[in-house]
Amino acid sequence: MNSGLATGDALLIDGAKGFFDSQFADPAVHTNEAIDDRLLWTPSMYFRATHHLVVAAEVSETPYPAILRLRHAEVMAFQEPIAVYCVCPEDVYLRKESQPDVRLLRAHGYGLITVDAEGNATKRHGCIPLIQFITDTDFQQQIDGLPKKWRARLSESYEKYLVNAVSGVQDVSEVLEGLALSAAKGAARKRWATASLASQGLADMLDGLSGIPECKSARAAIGGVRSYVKQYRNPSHHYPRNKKEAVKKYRGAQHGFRDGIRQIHSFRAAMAGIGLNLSL
Amino acid sequence: MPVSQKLQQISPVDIRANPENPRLVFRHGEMENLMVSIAKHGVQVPITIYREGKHYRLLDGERRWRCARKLNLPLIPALVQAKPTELQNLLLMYNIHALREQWDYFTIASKLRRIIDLFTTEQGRAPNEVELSEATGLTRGQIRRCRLLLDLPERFTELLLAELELPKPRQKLSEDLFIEMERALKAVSRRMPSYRPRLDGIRDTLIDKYRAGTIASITDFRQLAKIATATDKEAVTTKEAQRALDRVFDPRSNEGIREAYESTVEFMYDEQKAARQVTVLVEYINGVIETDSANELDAEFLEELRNLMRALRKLLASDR
Repeated sequence: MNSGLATGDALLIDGAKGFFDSQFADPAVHTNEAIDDRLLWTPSMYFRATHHLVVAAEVSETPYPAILRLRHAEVMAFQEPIAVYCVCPEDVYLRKESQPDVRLLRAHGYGLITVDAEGNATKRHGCIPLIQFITDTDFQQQIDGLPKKWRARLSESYEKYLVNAVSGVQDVSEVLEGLALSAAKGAARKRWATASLASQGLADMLDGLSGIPECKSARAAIGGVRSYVKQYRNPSHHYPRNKKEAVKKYRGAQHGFRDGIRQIHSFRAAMAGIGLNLSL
Repeated sequence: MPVSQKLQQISPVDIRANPENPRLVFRHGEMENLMVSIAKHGVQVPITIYREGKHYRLLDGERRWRCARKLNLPLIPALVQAKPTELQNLLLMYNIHALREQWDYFTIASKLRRIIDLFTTEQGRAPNEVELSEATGLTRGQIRRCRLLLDLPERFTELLLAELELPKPRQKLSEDLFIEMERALKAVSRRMPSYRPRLDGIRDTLIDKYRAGTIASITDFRQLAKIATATDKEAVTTKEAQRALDRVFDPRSNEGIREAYESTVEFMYDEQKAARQVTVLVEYINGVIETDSANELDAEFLEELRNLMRALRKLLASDR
């Protein structure tokens, strides 16, 4: 076996391998081998979950190893989606003084697996490829200005996004659907449209809203929601044909999540402009 | 040993660790510090390697090489030298490393046996302590301490190695613990051979008691040896000493070494210590009298002597 940075990590490596074997059906794990010559980090282990997604892990005595701090920006910018876990001893993870590092690790988009003294591995939090990652600070800035209930609902989407980016984006599009329904009901209450508008399919509902003369000034925002929901409500799970397509797809999820929140802001503002106050 | 060396830039991937490197433990925290420094400043001191087939073998610089591998550096500066013999290789490791940095004793001990074997094959006889010291650069004291670890049964060396892998603050069983324990057990079993067949079980008990805090400090093991050696001075009978040791070696008893020491030989050792101090004091006082310099004595000291006289009168009166 190739040498890692330190000795004494066999229990952690075996524990993590067992975990990946059960989660990814016996992947071919490379130990202490570089993923790519251009990436200045040799992870403790990595495997290709699919031909376009690499899952890597760094075993460490601490919850946030120095190499992951050093190479965070590089992995984020790397032209191949890589999801990264830290693997640390359970007793270290449970210590009070480790908690700031655990929080920081998560905030930086890394997953965490702990291994107990018997070698059993537990996933403490998952991760998505860093190329898709949106920091908590960034997310909080994006939802700033929205009503409290909306922020709470979007935080659920963000949690989903951090585990499965496509689900997170779908969830944002569901929030937008809910807002469109609220707009349709509001229009019916104001007698700009019949009550049946709210029971129509989403596309027809948005088209109906767009056709209401009172909604004329909000047509751009309604059109934005319509095209967003069309694109992200049922995102295609096309298998990327190569690394370039994979990068595009994974970056696309990040773009979709951010764009969804922008659409919510603009739809809310446009509806308020015509006297419709939306609720979730 | 050929000395010609050539500085080259070599890919860390083409380099292999040296299995003879006595350094077995690379602790995470220490390695991370070096790695961060190398990430910032690069490898400032070349590693030393020799060619072996299609690859290179490390002679010096395993820590730097491991960091370079973790950082996936494309090249590392390396001095390439001629391939040494196995004994040269090992001795070089000692002279490069052991004298330059603080190694764990276990690290040093692990390869010492091999050096002794190779030396014996080459010279037709085993090296004595002086020769071993000259060849490895270790002091004779260090060699003796290493030998105590070398003689440990395998399961205890495995226990120690697992402990050494932990960061220093988390280590409970240190090399010093084993060295002190073995030294004490040697003293005990030399005087009381009946303990020899039970030594492994005794080791387990002592380790458990140390972990539980029943044995508070590793220096307590010196008192274990003192209980055994007190029989030489006939201060206690072998039976008395054995009874005290039995309590310490009994996994069911809560008695630590300190309690056993206090209940058997502490008074005798304190008395010996006091006797040595009295001898020194009497010699000093006689010197003062002979040089007629009593008037130069400090008032405070004289007061202490009066206190001593009073205490002595009391003690000697009760002795009558």
